[in-house]
Amino acid sequence: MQDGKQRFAQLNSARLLIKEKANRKRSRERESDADDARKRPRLQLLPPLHSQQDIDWWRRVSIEECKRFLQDMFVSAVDKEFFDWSPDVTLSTAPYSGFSPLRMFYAGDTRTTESAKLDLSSFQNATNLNLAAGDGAVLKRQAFVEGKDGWFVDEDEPQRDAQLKVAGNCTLQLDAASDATLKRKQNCFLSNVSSDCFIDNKQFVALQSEAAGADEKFRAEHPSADFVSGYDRADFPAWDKIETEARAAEARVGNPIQTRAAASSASNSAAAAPPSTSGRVINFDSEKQRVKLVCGFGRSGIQLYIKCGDSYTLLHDEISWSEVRFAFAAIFIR
Amino acid sequence: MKFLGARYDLLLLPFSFADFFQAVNLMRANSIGCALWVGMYLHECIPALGCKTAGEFDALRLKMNPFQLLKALRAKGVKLWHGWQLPGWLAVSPPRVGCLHVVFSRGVFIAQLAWNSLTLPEAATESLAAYGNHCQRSNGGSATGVVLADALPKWGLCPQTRVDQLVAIANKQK
Repeated sequence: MQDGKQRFAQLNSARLLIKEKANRKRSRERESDADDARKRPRLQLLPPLHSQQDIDWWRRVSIEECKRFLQDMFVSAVDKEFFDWSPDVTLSTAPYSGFSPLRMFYAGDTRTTESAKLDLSSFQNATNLNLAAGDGAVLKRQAFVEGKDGWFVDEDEPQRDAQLKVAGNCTLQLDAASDATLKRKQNCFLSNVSSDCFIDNKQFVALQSEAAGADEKFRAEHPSADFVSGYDRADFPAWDKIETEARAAEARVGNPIQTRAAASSASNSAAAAPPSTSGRVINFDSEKQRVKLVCGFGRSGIQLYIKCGDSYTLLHDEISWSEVRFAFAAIFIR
Repeated sequence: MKFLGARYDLLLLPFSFADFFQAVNLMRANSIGCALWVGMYLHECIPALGCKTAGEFDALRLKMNPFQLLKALRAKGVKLWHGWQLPGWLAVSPPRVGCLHVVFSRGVFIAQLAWNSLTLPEAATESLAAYGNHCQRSNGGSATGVVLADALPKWGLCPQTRVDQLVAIANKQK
């Protein structure tokens, strides 16, 4: 009996010893992880990959040319008749009512139209409006419009002629005689609303950030199209809160619009700081994922960060409001 | 000129990912260029290459360059769909059917927001951090540019590389 008790005590102490060792090991590992986390850069920044020359080159390349290149590549590398037999799921060319492993949707943030006018009447009370148009080679004209009073041009890219002008009633008009092939899309920030303008081959494309109206129009134009509107407010109860917070914070931070030159110079410093110092406003925590998407309204517009633990990673700079909306919706879809 | 936050770009080459549930991928509206998506069903691909499981297939496809993969699948009669993704467009795979996509993009500042149902927090942060110059091939929230960044210096590609040069280079790659 006595032996048994002693044996039991020995075993118990050995077990406690093993347990204590395991605890010490776990503790060391935790410390090591914490050290690693401290060493890890909080925000990962990248050097530019491309030379200005390359970038200029790309700006002269149209989407059609890119498509042709990919087509040629595919034809020569995979199958000469690929595009003849492979169903094209792209909206405009293929009815894909049946099953397919791939679908293309218009994201609802650009709009093509025959009109050469961008109606800004709904923005009449805006204090600042940034409209930009490019000609594919360089950003040729950039106008900053102040209310109804007129406009002025970004100082580092002076407007060469009066082809882009703001007419009465805040209508931006593109002169049909312009020889520029305008195809660059830029963001259009309006006070606390972000909207996108797209100019494609002298066609003006406008996007209201209140996408509902545009979505309806798109549906009317493409009745057979499947369409992802980005989010459904009813299915995304957190959205109202996020939007309210975002707009309030944006108002606090001030107007993000500034000249392009100033934006460029500010970009690095704005991005280098975690969003808490550049106006963190949205902090949507998906419980399932333990990842936060964080939206910052910095000096160069809206930035989207992803936060995991203590580290922030810059997801996108100069993101448009509709894209922020998409990002949040994408998480919700999951 | 902003570089931060913009995903790479430049010449093509591909990033393929398999998603077993719904995935969404938005090409940011201010990208310049387009992407060619080729989609197929995994349940056709896996036996076509003599594999028994998705994992086995995944390991095999990573050893092939995308042209070889597509040629092999085509030779076995696997049906391929294609679609053009332009700036501002979403590429979506339907849920619960199991799809494989190979994406070829050409352009600059092609930036994509992608999310799928297998995206884990770790994968998301990894892949988003993959704006850098490392290759991220896990099935994360990543999209095209990641492998591009890896392929560019290795393959010696530049924007002016012609189709025939590119194909010749690509065919030498494993």
